[in-house]
Amino acid sequence: MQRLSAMSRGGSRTGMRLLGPLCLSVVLLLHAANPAAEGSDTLQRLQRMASALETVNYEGTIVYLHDSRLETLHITHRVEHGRVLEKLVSLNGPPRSVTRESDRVTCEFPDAQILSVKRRGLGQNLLAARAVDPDALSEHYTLHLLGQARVAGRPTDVVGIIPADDFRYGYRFFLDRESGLPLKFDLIGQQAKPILQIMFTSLTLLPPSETPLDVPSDVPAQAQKEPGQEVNQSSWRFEGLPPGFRLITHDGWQDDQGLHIEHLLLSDGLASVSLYIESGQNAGLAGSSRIGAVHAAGDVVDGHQVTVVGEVPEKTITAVLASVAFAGDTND
Amino acid sequence: MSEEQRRQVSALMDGELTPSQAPGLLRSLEHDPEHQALWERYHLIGNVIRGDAVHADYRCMAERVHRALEQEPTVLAPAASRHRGTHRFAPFAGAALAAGAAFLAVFAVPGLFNPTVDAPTGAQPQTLAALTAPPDPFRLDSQSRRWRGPNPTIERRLDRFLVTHQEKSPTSGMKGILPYATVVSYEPGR
Repeated sequence: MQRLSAMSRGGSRTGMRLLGPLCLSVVLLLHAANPAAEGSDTLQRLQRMASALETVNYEGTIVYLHDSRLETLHITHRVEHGRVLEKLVSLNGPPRSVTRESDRVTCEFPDAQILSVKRRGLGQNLLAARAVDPDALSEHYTLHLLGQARVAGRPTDVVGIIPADDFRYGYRFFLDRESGLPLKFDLIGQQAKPILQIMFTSLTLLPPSETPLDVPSDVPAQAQKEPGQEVNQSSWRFEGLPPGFRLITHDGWQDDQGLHIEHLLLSDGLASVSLYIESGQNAGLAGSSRIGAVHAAGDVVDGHQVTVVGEVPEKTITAVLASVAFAGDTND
Repeated sequence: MSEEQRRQVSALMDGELTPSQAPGLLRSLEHDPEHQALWERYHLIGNVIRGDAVHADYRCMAERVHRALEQEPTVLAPAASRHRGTHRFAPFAGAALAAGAAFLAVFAVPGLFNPTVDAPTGAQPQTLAALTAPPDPFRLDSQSRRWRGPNPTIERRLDRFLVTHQEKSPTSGMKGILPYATVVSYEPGR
């Protein structure tokens, strides 16, 4: 330290050249020695990423790789008149697209099939969605800064979310230094192998909107409820859920045929699993299925068709399905 | 060539030509290059559709056999008939019959020829079968489904469940619209 001071006082150009990297090294060493600081920094980057995904105007081309299957999609995100308009269009294979607006998601599939779903959950509230609970996260994941990389010709910082067990996937985000957007996203399975990758091959940052994003001030009622509160209102109970997963919301609606569908959402703070329970005799999923890294499983439980869906390993879906049981009608 | 003549050639190939039409058509096939070319084309189309082997050297085989026979020395048999007037046509009739037989053997019964054994150049013949029936690993995956396993009705139901799940998940906003890349993706058919 004395040597450093002497060099600095002497105005040595060599000393000045050494001073910067040395200070940086000391900071990095201190940082590395302090996992809490690293975790906090990583969390801030994730929060910035979530904010950028909603507020930054951009368009680009992304590639999607899963099971050696490569697809190309064009992505657009704009905030117009305070409302978000996002669109994802497939550039190969049968034409497909997803349009996400503030209150509705519309998917266009081949053969002119349209699926429109109203945004009514926690995901609709951007503030709630961004609020990743660090305490819940720390129970089953660890956060790491993994280094730097170049994606789509742009420098990125790589953030890793490492799972504590194999009931959940890991994540690796390559975050654009300028905008905070995730230019590459790896979903990590067992043995730390990527099982799904999404990467920008080109990105154009568009001018910011004149009207800022209109964030609803009223948090949806279901998001304000205490965790576990809705367990008592549901006719279903869980025994032997995978570690960390707990019921966070419970609601229901009627489908096009007037059939009542009950929806229970479980989460470990990052990954989530949905259970859909139908009381009718409609033929539902029997056994397991999957699309990408999303797994689904279905069975008849106590006379109800139960379907479990989530971007989690198959064993988690199977465990959730095996854990649910009918507790009796709570309206009696 | 009229449409009726084309129809007759097609009927002959399918074994559906009436006996009364056969002599005239066979004569045309023997002498008329246009009929012979049509006969060859129809068999070529049939071979391709069935995935049979096709070799370029087999084309115009009848004509080449015919020419070769014409150049061969003719062996005249002792006279046995009182109708001497017909003998002067005998060499030509024999050559024509031989050519006709070769013609029918090559084009009407292509399965009798094994190109992998009889290829004149000794090299493996180019087969259109290889283009129409590639090995499984090289085939385009035209049977891709979005969800692996369920029927289309259940698939649509799962789509709705998945989109609803994405929207209601507490951390869906963290990844923006990126999770929907999975929603519009396809699973391999195999």
